[in-house]
Amino acid sequence: MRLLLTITASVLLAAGTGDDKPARDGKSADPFMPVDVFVDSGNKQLVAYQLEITYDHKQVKIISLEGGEPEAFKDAPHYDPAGMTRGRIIIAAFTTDHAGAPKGKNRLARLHLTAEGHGTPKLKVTVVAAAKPGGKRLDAKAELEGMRKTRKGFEE
Amino acid sequence: MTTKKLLSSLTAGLLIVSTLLGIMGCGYVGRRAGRSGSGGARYPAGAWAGQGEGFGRNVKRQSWRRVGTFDELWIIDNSGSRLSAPDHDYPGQGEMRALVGEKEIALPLAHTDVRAEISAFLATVKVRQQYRNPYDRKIEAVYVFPLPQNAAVTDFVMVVGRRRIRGIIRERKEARKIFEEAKKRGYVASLLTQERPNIFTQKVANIEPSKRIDVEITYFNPLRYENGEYEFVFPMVVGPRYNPPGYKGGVGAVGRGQRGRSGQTKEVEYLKPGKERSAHEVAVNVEIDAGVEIENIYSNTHVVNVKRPARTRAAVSLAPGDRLPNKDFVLRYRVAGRTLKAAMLTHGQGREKTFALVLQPPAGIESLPRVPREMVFVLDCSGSMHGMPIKKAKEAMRRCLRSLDANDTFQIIRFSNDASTLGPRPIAATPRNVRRGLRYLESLSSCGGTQMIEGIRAALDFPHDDKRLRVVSFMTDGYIGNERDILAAIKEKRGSARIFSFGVGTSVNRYLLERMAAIGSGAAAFVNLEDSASPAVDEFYRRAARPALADVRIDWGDLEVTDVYPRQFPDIFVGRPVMIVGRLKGNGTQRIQISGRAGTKRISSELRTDLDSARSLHAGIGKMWARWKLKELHNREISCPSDALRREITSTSLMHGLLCRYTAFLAVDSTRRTEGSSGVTVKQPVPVPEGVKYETTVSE
Repeated sequence: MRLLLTITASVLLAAGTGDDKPARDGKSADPFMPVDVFVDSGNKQLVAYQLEITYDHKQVKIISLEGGEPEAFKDAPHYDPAGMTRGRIIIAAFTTDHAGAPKGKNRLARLHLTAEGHGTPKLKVTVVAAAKPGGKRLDAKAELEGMRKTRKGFEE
Repeated sequence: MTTKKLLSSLTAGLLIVSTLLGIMGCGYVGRRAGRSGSGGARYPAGAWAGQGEGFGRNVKRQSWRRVGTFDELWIIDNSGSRLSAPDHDYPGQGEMRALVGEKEIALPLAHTDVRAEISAFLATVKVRQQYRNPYDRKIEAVYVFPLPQNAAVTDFVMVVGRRRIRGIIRERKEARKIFEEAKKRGYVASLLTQERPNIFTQKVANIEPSKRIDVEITYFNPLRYENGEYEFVFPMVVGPRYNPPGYKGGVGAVGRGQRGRSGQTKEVEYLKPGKERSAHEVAVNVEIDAGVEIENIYSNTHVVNVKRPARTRAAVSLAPGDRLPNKDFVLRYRVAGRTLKAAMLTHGQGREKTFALVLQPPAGIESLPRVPREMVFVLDCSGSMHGMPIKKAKEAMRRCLRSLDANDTFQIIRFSNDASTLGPRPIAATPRNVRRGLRYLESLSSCGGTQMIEGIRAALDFPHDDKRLRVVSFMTDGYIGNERDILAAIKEKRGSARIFSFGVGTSVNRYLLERMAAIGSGAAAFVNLEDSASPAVDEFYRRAARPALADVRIDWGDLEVTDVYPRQFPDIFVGRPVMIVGRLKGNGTQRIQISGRAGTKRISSELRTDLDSARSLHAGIGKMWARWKLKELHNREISCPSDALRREITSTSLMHGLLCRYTAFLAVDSTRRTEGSSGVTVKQPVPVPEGVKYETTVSE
């Protein structure tokens, strides 16, 4: 079987620098943070994807999933509750709007999570499957980007 | 399915799309889930104009002036002191409204949009609740609402502007903790929990003034089928429940703004009819694809518009003038062929499938001789039955009494705060005794609480006449908060009696009545206040008088069948098919042998089914199987609660993404913190169900 290109990325997230700055003991750190999920399908249109995201379940809890920027992937991705073991979630989305299917690198989803403590939460994303119009498989890369908290809110 | 399997299946066309969705358990294969529109939220002009104090407890601090003679124009004078808002108070608001009669209360739930798609016997329903903040400070909206008792809630999305955030199911305790933390920190968050199989609570935190947050709930729901008609029900309001003295785990009924008065952990606030009303309206749209010709489609509860794009299809919507959420919406339709054939629907890929098997009693069961009955009629005479409900129940009971056979005996039991009977023991159904029973029935009136346990004791505790089949029929609205106690008592006491429950009213507690009948190997029937009681009573009597197909056994032939629910097959009554779900391994055409005992005769029939037929595929079957499993586990928990059982229920719920009482759906928007504290909590009050008296049911 042909292997799909898998790109993994760690997310570097500051624990907070402003109003939400944690106390020295870390107890008041704001644990909520969004993490953006980007998928790059190169010069091919993408109509469906399935991603596996792994993380340290003692530190991170994924609490919600949001849709992406392209209109075709605006709806929130689905997740597989049976595959949601400790520290692993599989998310997937598709579009039937082939004309509007995106090319290149796009933010296709956003994870809302809580991350406890001071350390940088580490998440890893793997492309399980991706498809172009017609249902044919395509190679795609995925990466995650966290947001840094500032005094005035969030900043990438 | 493993990743390898998934990848190998990605060969051509749109297969990947359906495969991905199959994994996600989505019911909308090959199409985008329709999004509901923004609806027609009715906000009076000037509702948010001006700033000032609000209503509820604060009304007394304001002066209200009547300035019109025909219409009433109320002008709020904000000269009173400002609200010091403890968390259970309503937030401040300023408003100017033209009203006639009832005062319209500005509330967070503006509109509910219901879109149902029915295919075969399964409905996929999307409920979109639109919350808006009509006040001048941040709020948390809390809404206690009903869904069908057999709904499998599988999906939850919070909509913030154009952003759609899918909630993830997790253990209830953990979800609540995260929700409270998010609320405290100012994040917009929503939490969906189940209080009873038919009662849910939605919380939406940190709704800023004039902002709107929607939540979208998706559930699967098998339709009821009886005597050739399918029935789709969407409940709109939780009826006011009675909780026995000392009981704390019920659902209390209190007046608006009177939180805590009932002493129950969960409460529903009710608007006072004639004085208060809400702008909240419900729009319902139902699309039916019956696969066979739809012969007749109607609603006795609401005015509906029906369009027929094809003979096998129908699109039904609530008429604009009939959208007040104060009674169940009941839609019935008849399909060609009159009787539902035994059939098997499956879902899954390859040999492994989940199935739903619909069983009909074999032909000829009606011609078998009836056996003498000991009929016990139990009438709910509590305050919630006051007026039309008890009138309707009496109408039904009169018809039952007049239908008794000379070999039958009967007893009448009434209960409210206590129970009393027509006589010390059942009496022969002679014409004279029937007249006596009718007179007794006429003398009964409704008032007081709903101590259903007293009715159960009176009905089941006396010695059984072993020459007759005891049939106990409860006639009630089921408005009690201690359902588990009642079901446990029936389980313990029923012996060989069959329990039939007869729901009377516009928003009956169907969960209780269906479960009572299921535990009692009987059947439930429902009579709306607009319905004639006669057809339902005749059907009830037909079932109670004739033998059901009991001791049902299934020979699965070459199929490998596991995880079948219900574990104990129910008896099958004439005109009322039953559904069995399970898992199987097999392909091609298969033969299934169904047998049972009708009276003293053992009879059987055969079902042939093609498991590879495209018609047999249904994406909702997997979820319905999980829902059945949860129901079975909950039933076991009623009589034998344990930590192990609780863990099994929780893990089943999480594994299948299906809401239960130990889990919750949580969605948080972590991208932005709203300013200020988390605001005040506003409970969405609801109207009392149509036909139910506020004065006799709601604590003030």
